[in-house]
Amino acid sequence: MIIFRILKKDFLRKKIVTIVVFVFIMLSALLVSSGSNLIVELSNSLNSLFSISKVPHFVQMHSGELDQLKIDNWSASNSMVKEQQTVEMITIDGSDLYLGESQKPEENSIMDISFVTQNKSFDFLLDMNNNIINISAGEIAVPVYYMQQKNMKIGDKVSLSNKSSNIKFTISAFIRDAQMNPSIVHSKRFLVSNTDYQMIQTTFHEKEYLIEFLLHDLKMADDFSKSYLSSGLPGKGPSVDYNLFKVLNGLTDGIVSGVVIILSLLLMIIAILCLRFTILSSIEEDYREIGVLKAIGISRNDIRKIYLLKYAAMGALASLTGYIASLFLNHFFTSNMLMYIGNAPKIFIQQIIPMGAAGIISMIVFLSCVIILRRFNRITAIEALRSGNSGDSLKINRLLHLKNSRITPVNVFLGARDILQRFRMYALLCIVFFFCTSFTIIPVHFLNTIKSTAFISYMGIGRSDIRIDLRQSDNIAERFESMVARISGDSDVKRFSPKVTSRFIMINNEGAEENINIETGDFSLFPLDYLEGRAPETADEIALSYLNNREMNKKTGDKLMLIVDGKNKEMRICGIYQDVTNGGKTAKAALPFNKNAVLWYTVSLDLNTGINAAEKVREYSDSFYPARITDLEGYLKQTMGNTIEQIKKVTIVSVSVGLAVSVLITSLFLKMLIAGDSSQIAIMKSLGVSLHQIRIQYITRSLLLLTSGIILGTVFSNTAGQNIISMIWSFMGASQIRFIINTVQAYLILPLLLIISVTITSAISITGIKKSSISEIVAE
Amino acid sequence: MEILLEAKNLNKKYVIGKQNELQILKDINIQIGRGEFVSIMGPSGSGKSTLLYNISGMDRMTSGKVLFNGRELSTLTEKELSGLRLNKMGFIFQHSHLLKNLSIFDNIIMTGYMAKSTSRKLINKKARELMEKTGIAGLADNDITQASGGQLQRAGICRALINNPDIIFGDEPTGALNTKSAGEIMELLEEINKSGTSILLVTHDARVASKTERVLFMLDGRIVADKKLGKCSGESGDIKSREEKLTQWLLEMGL
Ligand SMILES: Nc1ncnc2c1ncn2[C@@H]1O[C@H](COP(=O)(O)OP(=O)(O)OP(=O)(O)O)[C@@H](O)[C@H]1O
Ligand SMILES: [Mg+2]
Repeated sequence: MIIFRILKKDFLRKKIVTIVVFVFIMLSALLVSSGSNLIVELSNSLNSLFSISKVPHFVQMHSGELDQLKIDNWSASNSMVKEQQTVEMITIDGSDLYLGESQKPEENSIMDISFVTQNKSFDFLLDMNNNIINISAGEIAVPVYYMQQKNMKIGDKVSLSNKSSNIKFTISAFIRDAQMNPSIVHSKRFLVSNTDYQMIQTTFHEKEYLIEFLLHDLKMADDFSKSYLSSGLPGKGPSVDYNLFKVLNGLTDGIVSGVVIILSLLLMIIAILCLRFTILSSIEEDYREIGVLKAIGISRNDIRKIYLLKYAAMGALASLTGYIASLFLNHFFTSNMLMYIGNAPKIFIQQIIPMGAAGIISMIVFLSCVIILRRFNRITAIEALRSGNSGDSLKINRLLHLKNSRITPVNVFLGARDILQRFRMYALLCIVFFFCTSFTIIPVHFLNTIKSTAFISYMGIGRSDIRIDLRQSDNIAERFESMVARISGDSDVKRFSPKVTSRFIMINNEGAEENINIETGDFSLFPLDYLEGRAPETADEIALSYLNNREMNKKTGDKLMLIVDGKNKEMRICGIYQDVTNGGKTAKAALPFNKNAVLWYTVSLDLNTGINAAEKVREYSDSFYPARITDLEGYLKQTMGNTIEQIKKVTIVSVSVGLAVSVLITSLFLKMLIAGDSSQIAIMKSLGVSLHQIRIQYITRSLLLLTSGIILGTVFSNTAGQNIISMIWSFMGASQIRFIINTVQAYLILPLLLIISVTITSAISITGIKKSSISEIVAE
Repeated sequence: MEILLEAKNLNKKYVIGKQNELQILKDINIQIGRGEFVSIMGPSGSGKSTLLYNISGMDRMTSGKVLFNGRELSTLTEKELSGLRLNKMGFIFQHSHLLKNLSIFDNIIMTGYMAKSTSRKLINKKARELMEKTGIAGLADNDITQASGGQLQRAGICRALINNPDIIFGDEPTGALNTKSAGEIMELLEEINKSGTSILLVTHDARVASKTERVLFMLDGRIVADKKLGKCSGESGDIKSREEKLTQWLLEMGL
């Protein structure tokens, strides 16, 4: 049967390209199923973790005196409250904690470490099987963060020691702590038995409290938080709600799944472009044959169906293979999540979502084939028979006639001219190069951005060498003053800026009074990147964090009424910044601070060049105890280290995929191009054009296409790529990111890598030109 | 007469499959003089085209020697061979074989630009003159799809002449044309020959061959006869008698 003969011939002739398109569709399906699987698993596991551990809906941290009776009374009278619980925590200084066999204490850790006992009614600390941990005397359960960072195992030792005592524990479990799991949350809870807790209490006296609430309805969390903050109940510390816990827990894997899905979409586009090219060139080559078929009366629709059948079957098979392969790859992406959040049985719908995503890829491929094959309608039998040419070439501008070229080398000219002439065909290669460039550059940009110290300004922290945090403790005001005095007298310090966060009262949109935490000080020294507007400069300006602003529903330029020293003061909102610290709801103003409600102090400082930051940190840690001193490099590493690792994985995958795809496509494309051009090449050879000259023509083409692809891709990555990443980043409640571009990597190494691999590939591919013998073709 | 092109014991074999060899050219010995106008005839498959490709250096012979202007082709590199074809030889094919992505004018000048022997300006001028002479001056900027077979063949001739070659090879240059066009093309070739360029034509057409001064007859890979007709005067009576003589001869040869 002639129809099947065509199909068979088509496959044999296009064996390699068919296989490559198959692989692309498969990879795309694989990534999209893995990405969506990660999302499904993430939300499913998060829900499971949150429900088993009974995460509180609202938590107020507090350091200082606490009157539980007052809280009980208030809770009893508040209709929103379902349950209340106050968690007492012994805060431990890092310099007293030794993990494993390490002789070095955790003094450089940015984490606030505290020891607790298991809670009674909610906010349970779970083990790696999501069971509520029961702990016996002498044992300890350690946050999963340390298991990953310090590679700790069950049975390892943990010791607490200061001048007066030394207590040893054996690790019996690792903790999944829905509140404090992610590395971006700088508090970590260690779990010990009640007896040990009593014993520790005798030597370690610092206490902190988590005042936790379960509500009847989670939707009331915002209202509840307002009513709590204006109740006058203890509140020396940040407050956090359920939704933020969720966001923070899902952050790293959310970003990874977003990037993976975007990669899969890019791959799919490339696959469709290749498909289009393959189908069109098949049609072109089959023109005569199709004409014959039509002439003998097989209908256009029949022919279209044959092709559609072939490519739809291929797309479906590739998607299926991709989905099955994803079952094996999923672990690569989910391992981090499994460790922190755990696994939960999936319901049927969740099982089929990744399959559905792969199915969508195959649907899109199918639809693209339908659209591409519309072209069949335009072929008439006579046209096909007569010309054997689909007439898909552009009319060339006069300037592009060879006769008008004065100095350009002929072969370079001919190579370049051909691109413009057969632009639609070459556009494929250019677009692929464009995608490959974006593919490699965007993740690299993102990785560099997230690794850079400037990145912390996206987390709400000004960029400085060292940051000092002073939380509630006795005589905090005096300590702060002496600390500032000491720093201002230190000749190693280039510049510094003390800031105080204190609680003010504002009038909200409904006219009610509400608490607001405002950081005051000079914001010009260690500036943040503002999403909108700028830092406050005059006493009537205030800047709001993104989350705070979203809740208040204000714009820059709007007014906000504060109560300062008992009097109303109208403030103008001058800027919005992103902040993920201290619950994300913060504000900044150039006011004198509210002495009666100071929450915490911070000092940012830069050192003179040549001063070792690590040594300075040690020196200050000793003198300013219990203030926490962090150098920004260390801060970033401890906070974002895990996320950076995950993004690194994705970057490696995407750079390799980008290079592999460009090499594959280049060699395929040139092979097909040379095969299609064989008669033209033979003619040129017979006229005395040397192989070398012909090769120059082809190399010119691939390099020109590559260069334009790289330029377009680089521009795209730096503009739209930035927006795409910002979109993913908005998982975090912060919405904008400006890439920090590593010029050498982005503009030199990556393009060079692409150019080298494409040039080598082209050079190898065009050796095929030799094989076409003149006599065979010219004699035809 | 000065010898321009000479083949000595030229053999060409094709290896088919693993063991089988197919000898297409068998011990060919020919000499073409400078300014000579020679045609090759013979049944289909006798190896005429193959001979043309081998003595012009397009294809590598299996054994033997080809001397062009005293240089032995088998000692030249691919690049030198290309250079030789580009500068010293012209080719005309049955189906003109113009490059399909170039305009007619660009097709003609391309090899001229590549040869780099004169300025591009002079090449353009020469191309215009050639087109004028061959009667296709109006088609310069046309696509090759916008010209008739005869016109394309003339463009092919212009292309072959652009670098002032010593010899022009033609593989059935009139084979795809009607009688009238074929006649016009032959007139052109005769004129070119008069200006001193050697021409070697493969043809099936006795009328075409009768216009050349010498006819080689090929059979089964060998040159079996070499008939000298002498220069054609161009008078109609002379043409008629040459044609009759040749046809008679061909009948004797069994064609
Ligand atoms: N590349 C090749 N491999 C094997 N055999 C070949 C090859 N090229 C040509 N031949 C064979 O060589 C023989 C001579 O071919 P050639 O094209 O020279 O014949 P010809 O005399 O030009 O015929 P025609 O008049 O039909 O053009 C033929 O039998 C052909 O099949
Ligand atoms: Mg032939």
